[in-house]
Amino acid sequence: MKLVSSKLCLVVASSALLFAGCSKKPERPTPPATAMGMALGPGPIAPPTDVNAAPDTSLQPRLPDGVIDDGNTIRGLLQAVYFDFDQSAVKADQRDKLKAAKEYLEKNPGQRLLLEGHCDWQGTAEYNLGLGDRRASAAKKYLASLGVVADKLESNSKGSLEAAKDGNDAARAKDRRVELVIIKAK
Amino acid sequence: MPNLSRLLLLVALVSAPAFAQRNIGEVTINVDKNTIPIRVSAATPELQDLALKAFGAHGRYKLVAVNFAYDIRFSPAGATQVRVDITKGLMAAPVGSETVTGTSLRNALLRAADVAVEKTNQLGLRGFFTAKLAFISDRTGKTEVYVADLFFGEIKQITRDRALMLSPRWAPDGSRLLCTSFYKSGFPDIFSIDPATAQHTTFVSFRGTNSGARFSPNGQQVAMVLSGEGTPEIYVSNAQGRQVTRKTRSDAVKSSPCFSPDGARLVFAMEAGPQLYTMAAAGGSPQRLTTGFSYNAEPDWSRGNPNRIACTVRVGRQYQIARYDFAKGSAEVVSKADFDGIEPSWLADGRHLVYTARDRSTSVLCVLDTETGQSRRISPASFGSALQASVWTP
Repeated sequence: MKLVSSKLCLVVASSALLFAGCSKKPERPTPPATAMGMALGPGPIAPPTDVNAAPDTSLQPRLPDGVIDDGNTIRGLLQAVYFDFDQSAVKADQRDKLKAAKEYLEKNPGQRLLLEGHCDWQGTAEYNLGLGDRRASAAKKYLASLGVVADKLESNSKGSLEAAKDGNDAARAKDRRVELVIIKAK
Repeated sequence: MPNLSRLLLLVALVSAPAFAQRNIGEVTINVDKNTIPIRVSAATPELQDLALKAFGAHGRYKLVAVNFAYDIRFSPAGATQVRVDITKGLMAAPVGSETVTGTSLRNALLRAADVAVEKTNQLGLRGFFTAKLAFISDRTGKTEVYVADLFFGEIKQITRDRALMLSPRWAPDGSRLLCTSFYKSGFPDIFSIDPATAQHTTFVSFRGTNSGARFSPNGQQVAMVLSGEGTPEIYVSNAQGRQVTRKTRSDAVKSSPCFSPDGARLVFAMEAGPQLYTMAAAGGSPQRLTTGFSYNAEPDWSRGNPNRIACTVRVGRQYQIARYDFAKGSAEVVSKADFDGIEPSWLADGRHLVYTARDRSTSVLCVLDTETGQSRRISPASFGSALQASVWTP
């Protein structure tokens, strides 16, 4: 019975992760904005107990903030590469992120990388799809120049299709990116 | 105290309109010199409403109650038939009467109104009210393809794929749509969709980005953008997505190819800028169109007036519709709006087009008169977002 319920827990948890992977990541409310936060007031909140201490469960620690593992891919573990408006060149200050991606692939030889190009909502949809493609291939070329072999890399363009619709300057800057999505070993 | 709260309520009510959202999609231009004053009426409120909406979107006309040049009257003549009677001037000299059959009463009214336009516009313009639209909406929370008539009647949701979807384009005979969708593979592929049955077939699915598919005017070829060989390049296939041949070769992103009305040339947008280029549909060296704008995209070559290409240009921080004219060798902004105007698609007369009016929060479809800049919103607020319209003229 205990085994069944822990398995059920896992299914529920992983399907929640899968769902989170499909939709936009919900913004986490600040503690004072939640009902609990309001009830507690501004005082200190007790640190959570370490669930890993429980010996006879298969509970896993939660992934770091912003990391989404849907079973096949991991998003948010490697940092996204950002671009200037209407540009597809990898900027000097973004190169370390691709170097880190190369190191990750070396440490995890079974895994591959999906380079997913994005644009902000400005401009036009079809051109942005091309621009996103171009950004992904610029990141791909840079990784190739670091010695990453081609069959470790996959690319995709989402153009401006997932861009924040009413984004301000800061939100738009975050939309101009190549997301480095880890494809897990089969 | 009750008086005070009543006063506050009154203040709130009076000041409420100040906070109301501006009317996106609507631009009214005062032009008396080049407009024809007409009186439009119909025997039923539904037909009257539709007739006023149609003529109200036509920049050649001004709707008036008195001092009209033409009097245009519609009446139902059967389940799918409408009679139109047109007279000229205050003396009511007969211009024409006709009974028109449509696919529905609504469609018959639009056809009869096109007859009236052709008999009264004095410029030789074709009617365009019977155009059918295919477009994208995310009103369900996901981007799906819809079709409707030009005034947002007879709306049908075609896809229920729950996938990212963009730019549906009609085949010239209206039998199918080509669109780019992330359906099935999770990557942008081109699908062919039968609007009657909603049946999907994969048109092309190569590695990389497959997008921007458009039919040639005779329906026998399709131009598209594929990035499978590195850079997004222009390719042309047959109507089944076979015999795919590459037409461009350079290290610059290309997008949105569109055939000329005779099918001999292509216009497309290309980096840097992007700028617009034309090229023989069989391939060759691209020639730049000098528009005077730094960003030019989404060209649509008019079938009604082969001298005109509409496109989206950047003006300051905004995007507007521009019209390139081969006779003048230059382009001018034709949507004089305080919101973005993008995604132009010509209507049959070569003067009006459908475009998307966009601001930070919403997208709506509108009819623009490129002569005057008058814009009339056609997608109602209650529908939700509507964008990327493709026009088919039956």
